[in-house]
Amino acid sequence: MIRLVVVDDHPAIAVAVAAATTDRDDIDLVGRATSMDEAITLIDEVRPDVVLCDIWLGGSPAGLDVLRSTARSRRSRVLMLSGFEQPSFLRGAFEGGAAGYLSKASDLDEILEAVVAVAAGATRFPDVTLRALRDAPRRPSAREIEALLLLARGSTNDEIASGLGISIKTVESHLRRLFGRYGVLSRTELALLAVREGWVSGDP
Amino acid sequence: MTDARIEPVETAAARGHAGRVRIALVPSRLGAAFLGSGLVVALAAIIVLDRSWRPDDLLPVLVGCAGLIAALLARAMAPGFAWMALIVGSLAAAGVPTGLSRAADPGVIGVGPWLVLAIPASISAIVTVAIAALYATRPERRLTRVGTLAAFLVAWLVVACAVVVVLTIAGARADPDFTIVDVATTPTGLFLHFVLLLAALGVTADLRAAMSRADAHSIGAGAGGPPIGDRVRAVLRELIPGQADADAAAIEAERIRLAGDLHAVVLPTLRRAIAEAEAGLPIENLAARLRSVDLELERLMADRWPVVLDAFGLVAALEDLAERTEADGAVQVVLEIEGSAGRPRPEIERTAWRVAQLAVDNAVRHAGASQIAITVAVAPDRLGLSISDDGRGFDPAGAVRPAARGLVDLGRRASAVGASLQIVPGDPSGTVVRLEWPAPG
Repeated sequence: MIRLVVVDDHPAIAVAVAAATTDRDDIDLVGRATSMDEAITLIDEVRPDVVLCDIWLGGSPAGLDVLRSTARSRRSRVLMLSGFEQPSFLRGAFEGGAAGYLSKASDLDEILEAVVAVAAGATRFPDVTLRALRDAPRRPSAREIEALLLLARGSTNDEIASGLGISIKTVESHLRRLFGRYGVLSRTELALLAVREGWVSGDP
Repeated sequence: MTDARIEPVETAAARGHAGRVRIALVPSRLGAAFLGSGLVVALAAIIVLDRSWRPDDLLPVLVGCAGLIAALLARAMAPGFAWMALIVGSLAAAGVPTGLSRAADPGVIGVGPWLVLAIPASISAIVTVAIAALYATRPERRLTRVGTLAAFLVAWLVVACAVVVVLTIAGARADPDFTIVDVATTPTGLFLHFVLLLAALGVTADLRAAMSRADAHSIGAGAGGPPIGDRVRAVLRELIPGQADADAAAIEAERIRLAGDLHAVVLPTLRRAIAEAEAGLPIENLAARLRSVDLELERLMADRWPVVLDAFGLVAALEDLAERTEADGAVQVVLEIEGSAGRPRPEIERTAWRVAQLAVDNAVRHAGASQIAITVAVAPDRLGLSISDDGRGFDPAGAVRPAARGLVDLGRRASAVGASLQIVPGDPSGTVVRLEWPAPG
């Protein structure tokens, strides 16, 4: 039995999840919170297996704070739910330690399937953001390819920065933009993609 | 005299139109009677108590009345600051009798007249501060009825008059030299006090109204509200005559622009989609139409609600902007981060974001640029942003064309938040837009 908490300031998802879980014997909805503070207290109290948390609570991305606070304790897996497709949100969830990131446009079945999956230890991130799907795959700029080349050779951000003569913040920014553009979440994935697409050669 | 009718702030704010609170000044019989009685008391006091009165003695009262009327008229045109002008005007009017007394008899500036003026003034000040404090802190006790306000004023006038009479009698008994001339200026003092009381109420009402408007305008404020400095700035902004109207007009213009965009790009596509669906065209067509509506809507929202900026700050928002611009076409956007050590105030971030957005838009749409370089350095207490392109460049002489007007408006917005915006020709071509906060120098 998966103990689930839903955090959302709009009732729609929680109501739908509540209705669906009464018929299921593998998920038990044990609590619902509508704000960040409420959520943190509730999660601390009931210690659910999975938290389904909206990223946007009361006009700010407070869901990310719920995520960080919950992920630190490592007792519950957090599945972020979002109406936003911007890469920054996906990345914020990933870096905050979320077990997954679902679009609010997802079917309820899809959401519940993801709850079961993350409870079993899997992750559920979209392969690519919808934006990346929509756009034609685009070749990185010359500067970005130089950075990718160093990245694929295992350089740290520091080494890339001094290698290209740019600030480390710019390197981070290049990588963030590449992550967002190609819908990848880690340096390894990005390096693999760059090699696979032939942007950089695989040989050192 | 006219009465200040102070509308309940909440209802007025809820009425919309930027929450403008109207403090209507309506003539009423009660108010006229009150002004009349005040004048009669003042004139009678001068004529009866001071048998050697001259027409000059009426001057301060008349000056005060003129000042009051002028202030009330001014207030109708410039709400917010006229109350303060009223106080200053009253103080000036109060200076006249003192000057006249001194001219008539240098000896009168002794203990007597000052005491006579000071005591009612203190009582008046205490009453005024108490009422103002009550008004400012307890919304449910606001003076919303003219009658209550008038009752307060009459009660105060009675108390102050009684004090003057007692002092006059006591002064004459204690000191044979204490002449009636010493209190001749008191009625003007009385007049001054009730003007001050009225003014204090007006100031408080205006401040409350401005605060409520500022609150209504600050959207998305988290728990605890914005920092006190931002709040004070917002309230001051509301107090500047015409500023709130200009803001409201800007909001209205934005609303119309949004409606226009929805009409021009979203509705036609939706309608085509409906028509195609009804005509039984394949589902792929419908999907393609809907996808383009989705894209357009997202674009419209990204321009108006920079959600990435609010959530993650300027650098993330610029990355987002760069990605979207590159995805749109042939323009390449290079983003150079020289520093990112925290986030400045939201209004600074928003201004910087608008500058970047507009500069990029100008470069793409009007300058035909093929490459745009954005350089940014941001910290809680400073921000430097520069956007340069390799397009056709900017002709300072042609700065009146519509595309440039946006940048001129932004320059004004930048200086309003204490930043400076510079638009210079690029080298060898193109345009460089530079924002610096705080403004140098």
